[in-house]
Amino acid sequence: MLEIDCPFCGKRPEAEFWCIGEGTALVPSLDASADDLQNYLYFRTNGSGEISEQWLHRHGCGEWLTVHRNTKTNAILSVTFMNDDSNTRGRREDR
Amino acid sequence: MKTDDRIAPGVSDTQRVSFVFDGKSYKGLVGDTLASALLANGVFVVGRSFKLHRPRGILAAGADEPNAIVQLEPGSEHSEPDLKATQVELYEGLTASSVNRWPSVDLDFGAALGVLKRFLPAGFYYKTFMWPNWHTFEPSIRKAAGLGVAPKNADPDQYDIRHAHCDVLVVGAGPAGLAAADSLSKAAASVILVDENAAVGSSFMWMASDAGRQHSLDWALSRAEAVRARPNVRVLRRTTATGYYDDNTLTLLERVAEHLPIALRAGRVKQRLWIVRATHVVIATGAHERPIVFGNNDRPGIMLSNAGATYAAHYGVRLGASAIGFTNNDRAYEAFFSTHDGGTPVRDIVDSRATLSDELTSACRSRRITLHLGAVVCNASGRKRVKSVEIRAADGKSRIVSCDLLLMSGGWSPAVHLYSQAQGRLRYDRDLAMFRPQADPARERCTVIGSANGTMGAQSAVLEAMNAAAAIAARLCLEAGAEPATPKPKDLSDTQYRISPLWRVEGSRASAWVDFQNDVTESDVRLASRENFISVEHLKRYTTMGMASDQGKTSNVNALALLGVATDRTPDQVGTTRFRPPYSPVTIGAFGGHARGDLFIPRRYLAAHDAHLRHHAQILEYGSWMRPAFYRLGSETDEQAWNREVLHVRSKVGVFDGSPLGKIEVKGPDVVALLNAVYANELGTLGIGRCRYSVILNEGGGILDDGVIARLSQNHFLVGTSSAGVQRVLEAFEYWRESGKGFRVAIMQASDQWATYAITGPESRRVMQSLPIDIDTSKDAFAHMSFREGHLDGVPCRVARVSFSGEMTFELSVPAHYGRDVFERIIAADAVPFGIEALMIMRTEKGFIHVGVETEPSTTLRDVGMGALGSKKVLPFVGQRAAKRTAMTHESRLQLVGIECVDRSQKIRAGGHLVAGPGEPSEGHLTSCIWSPVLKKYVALALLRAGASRLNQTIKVYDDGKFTDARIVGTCFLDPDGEKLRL
Repeated sequence: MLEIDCPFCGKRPEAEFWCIGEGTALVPSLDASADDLQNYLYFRTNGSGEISEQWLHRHGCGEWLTVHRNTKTNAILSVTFMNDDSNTRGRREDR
Repeated sequence: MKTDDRIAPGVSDTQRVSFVFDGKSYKGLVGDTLASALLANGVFVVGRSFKLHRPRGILAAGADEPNAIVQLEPGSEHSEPDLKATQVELYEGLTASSVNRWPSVDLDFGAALGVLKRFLPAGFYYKTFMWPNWHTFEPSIRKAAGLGVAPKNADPDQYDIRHAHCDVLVVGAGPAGLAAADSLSKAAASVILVDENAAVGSSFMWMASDAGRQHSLDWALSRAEAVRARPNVRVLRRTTATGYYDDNTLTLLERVAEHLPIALRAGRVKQRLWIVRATHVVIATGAHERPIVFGNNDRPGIMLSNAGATYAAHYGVRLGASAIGFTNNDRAYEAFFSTHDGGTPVRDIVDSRATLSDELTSACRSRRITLHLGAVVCNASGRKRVKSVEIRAADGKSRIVSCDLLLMSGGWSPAVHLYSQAQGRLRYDRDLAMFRPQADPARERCTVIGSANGTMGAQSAVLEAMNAAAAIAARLCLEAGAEPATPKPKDLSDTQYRISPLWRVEGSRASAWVDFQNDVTESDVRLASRENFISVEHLKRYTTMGMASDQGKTSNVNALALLGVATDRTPDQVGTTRFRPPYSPVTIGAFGGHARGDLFIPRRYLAAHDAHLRHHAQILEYGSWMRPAFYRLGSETDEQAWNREVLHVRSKVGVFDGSPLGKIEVKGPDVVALLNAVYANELGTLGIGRCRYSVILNEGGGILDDGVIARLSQNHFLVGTSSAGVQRVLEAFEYWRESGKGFRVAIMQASDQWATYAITGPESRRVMQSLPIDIDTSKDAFAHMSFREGHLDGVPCRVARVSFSGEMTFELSVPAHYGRDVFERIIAADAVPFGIEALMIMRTEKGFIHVGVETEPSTTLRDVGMGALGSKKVLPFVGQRAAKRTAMTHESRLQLVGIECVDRSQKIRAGGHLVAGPGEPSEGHLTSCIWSPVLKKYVALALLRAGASRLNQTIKVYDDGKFTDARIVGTCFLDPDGEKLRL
């Protein structure tokens, strides 16, 4: 049961959230190539190590979050709002 | 009998209980386990081994017991299989039986299998019982396998789940755990202390000699009482920590009522699962003693030295007249002396090592115990009870020595299960011949102490615990409390742990057991290595060692070490198998807690639920909603009821409770931009007070959900979704709103705030006009697909004129707490209530899709004949590009059609497949199918390959062996021009 530090709610258990995995929120344009579309729809890095995922705080504030997580150790490196412009990979600030 | 009623609050010789084992009555003490009570009554054969049906006795005194498997309360509704007698607390009236034997544990016909032993090594089922067909043998082998009997009734007991947080969770209340809990709770940490036994003190229960033992017990008791008295401490006895999960989450299984007589358990839960989040975890789980692998080491009466000592010293059992100890380490001597001093004379000790300390040598001498140094026990005799052993001296000479009890100790393995589940790494300590936690400065949140950490002496363990507690307190920034520091204990037992590994005794002709419960011998381990199963994980699966209900606590390390011997590797080179929770078996019911039966999922009730019942609604579960399927008048059958409803609604007027439909309010300056980015159709052109049927796609271009969107004002829309899809759509809105560069939109779900009643039928206007509503619902003022807000008898209301049935419909919404009253007013105006069955009939007659029934996740708008919707839209929306992929647009996709029988009297069903003829492949299936009371025949909607181009062709419907001739038609069976909507 991971503990996720929601930027709005604070530390909450994993069960309150819903993870949709690695994703971006950029709709492919009408003239996007078939390859670009396939990559967008189906291909993920599926990395061993640090990846970036999208989580929804479904049973909490309802915000969409970007989570940097290490898939080998399950250590969570940062949790930010999805539309946070400072959404670069890095350490989470202590609340 | 000796007693100690201080540390062990139950074991007192004034409270006797009666119990039954294998049909015979016995007496025991409160505080006994079933195992200690059986031993006290001289019962040594308690089971038969899994494969070969060899008589087996009690080996251990805790969760590590492999042999004494019992069926508790057999034949009753409380029957529970595969419990370990060493963990079953005795209660008045307990009934249990041994397993895996027929007709009895003393005379078992299955023992005949012993003759076939040569043909039943590990993995025999891969090589034998193959010809002519292994299925011939499979049923008998399956029947013979297994130990207990699974209960056939539902679990009659109640279980509970609780969550808790604490600063420090201390697992284990032995010397180390008690010291840590004491120090930490003094420093004001919130502490949870758990121990799987009923009494705290753990290894102190079997430690040696009267004086030292009493001093240790006194120390432990005073620490325990101090800890228990502090308000910041929760002590959970009879509680096993079963798993260590992410971020210091642990599960604890508390056995709440199992020690009580069944009659006294009423009103209590049987077990409670705790889910604990601890800032820091202290693991003081102790160590498991290893058996020694020698010939016939599985005979009843051969047990682990700590077990013998526990039964003799703690439970006061006289185990025999003449015991022999067999060891390769110093620590076992404490157990031998404890057993001896407790009343079971130890005559000889066989020590595989050549030398022994002076202290231990003189302790043996003072007890007149004959010491055999440099010697081994190579064989044991006595089938139902050990009666003698063969001792081989250092010079190779053997002699037979008689005994009725053998206490063996092959060393100790730290119980590193929880630590390993937490990704802790192990290292092999060659001096101590054990796998121990590897000190890892990166592991800040978990500390292992005591014998779990390889610190074997009690005095050392307590000091280690106090130091660890100080470090943890500092890390948690806790101040030392006002109480004085824990007094350092003096003279607790602290024999140095010296050991010389003895992984097997060579030269035994007889089989030597490694895993007792799964009947795995040392020759099976060598067989595995010969077959090249040399990875420790392969060894486990091939031999099944460690896979029984004791989970290898007494076998894992011996087996992997023996694999090392066979393959010329050291134990650390072989490694351990992966540790997974639970640490010991957990009843499934404990994970469910109270979520059973009616409480399995939360049920949602309509605001007008009582009114529905009053009108004879037949309520069914739809998702989580309890809704009327139909209303039964008099003694109507189900079909009569819903057919009557359809005919009445289509000719007069009815009312349907549509409250669960999703309603999402969307408001803000950018609302049109957001809606257009998410929904497939154009919404900017929707007029104020108008409604538009809208569809949202998923990312792959298939239909996700549909509904009617109404525009309340320039910047305020009300989005309707299906009942099941509202959460999905809401989350999609939120997702796309936050992904864009600042959509200024507020989104709020209002599904539960409004109760909605669909007044349906040609006379629906009459009903609306009879209600005290300030909205003009006349034909010219309120056209189809319009939306108005107003008041009903002073209460805010909303009215949408939309239709799912094909009849003129006014959907009247009021705040939910007025729902029941409004529903009754509508009924009073002569609208007949109708349910979901009738609605589904009507919408199928009209060919209206139900997302999830007519559609699969990849079904597109084009597939269901709505290709025009959103086709002209230039601004990108979700799924737009993906829906244009070749695979999503080719001609032979599954497309929505109508199906009717050539012979109108024939019956077809949803799920029937569409085929050209017998033997031909399926070309699609019926998605919805109803008997139309209007058309008096079956009609269906179906997905059919290239359906759009096959209208008026014939096809067959295949269903359960029957072929029915059918015709492919348009999807709308009634009023194709929609005249009934223009009333």
